[in-house]
Amino acid sequence: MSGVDLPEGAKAWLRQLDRLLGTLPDEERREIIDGFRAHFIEAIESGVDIGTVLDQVGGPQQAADESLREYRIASQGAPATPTRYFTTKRAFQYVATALCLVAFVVILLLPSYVGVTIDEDGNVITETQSVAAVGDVGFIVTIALPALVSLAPLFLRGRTWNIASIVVAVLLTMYVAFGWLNTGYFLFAPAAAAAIIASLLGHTRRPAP
Amino acid sequence: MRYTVYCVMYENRVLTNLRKGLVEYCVLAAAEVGPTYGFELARNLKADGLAASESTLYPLLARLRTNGMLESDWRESEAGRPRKYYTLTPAGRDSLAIFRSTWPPLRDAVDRAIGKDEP
Repeated sequence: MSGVDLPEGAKAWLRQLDRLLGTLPDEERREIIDGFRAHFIEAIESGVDIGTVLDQVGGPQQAADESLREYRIASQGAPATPTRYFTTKRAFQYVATALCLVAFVVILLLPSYVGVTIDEDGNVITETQSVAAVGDVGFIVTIALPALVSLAPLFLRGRTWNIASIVVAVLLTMYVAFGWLNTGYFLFAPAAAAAIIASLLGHTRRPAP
Repeated sequence: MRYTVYCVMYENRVLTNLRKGLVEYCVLAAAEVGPTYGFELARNLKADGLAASESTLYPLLARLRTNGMLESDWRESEAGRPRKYYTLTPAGRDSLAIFRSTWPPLRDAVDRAIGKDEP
């Protein structure tokens, strides 16, 4: 992160904190350690004595206690801060569900079945019928699946909500991709797009350190 | 004497926890103004009398990022080396908006309860 060589006291402080945070996942531990390391570097560069900096920060045990406390709050799923149920992310998920239902109804009413009949005079009579009229239960269930799957994130909050929104976006995308050549599956593409946008909103980007 | 010491320690703990809860929103408000970084936040919070120690800030930043209130990215600083900047996410903005609407009546209620308005 930086070419600045920290004094031994600061390095020992960071090493001890690293040991005390052994139970945290690597990413969280690294983020906290990097934060303190950057703080030490900035403080030294601004002309503050390292002894003063370490006094101001407190001991590694204090920092570890704070880190574990914050991690426990983060791990509880819901943020420690109050959040609204209805957010832009949630709005896109409602849009995705609505578009799934629209696609379902359109495919249901689409005259996609062609019946061929040869009458007594040898005339070929063709007639088209909708999925609903034919009553192909298996197919109806298949096209109802996206709407049912897209409902899941609407009832969740916190981290499970984020995970569910990603899963739904992936499933809808796969549904459209694999069913592209089948009757009307492309109609689910707008719903998949809305689900993808919802899954991206309100997420933390994790850049490489 | 022992009783007095215990009271002071308890009081400090309560006030520290109270300050920690509020610092969270001050951090979000600082990130709302524009991208900010740890040392700058620590310096400003300390100057405003809001942070008791830097030991609380970096774990808090990690948690706010994990919970999607802030996002971070590495950028080149004027000092010539990469610096981790934090920016407010839509979820963080929502949370801050809720706090802004909750805080004034809460503050007024506490002021009334502790008798600040009394002569």
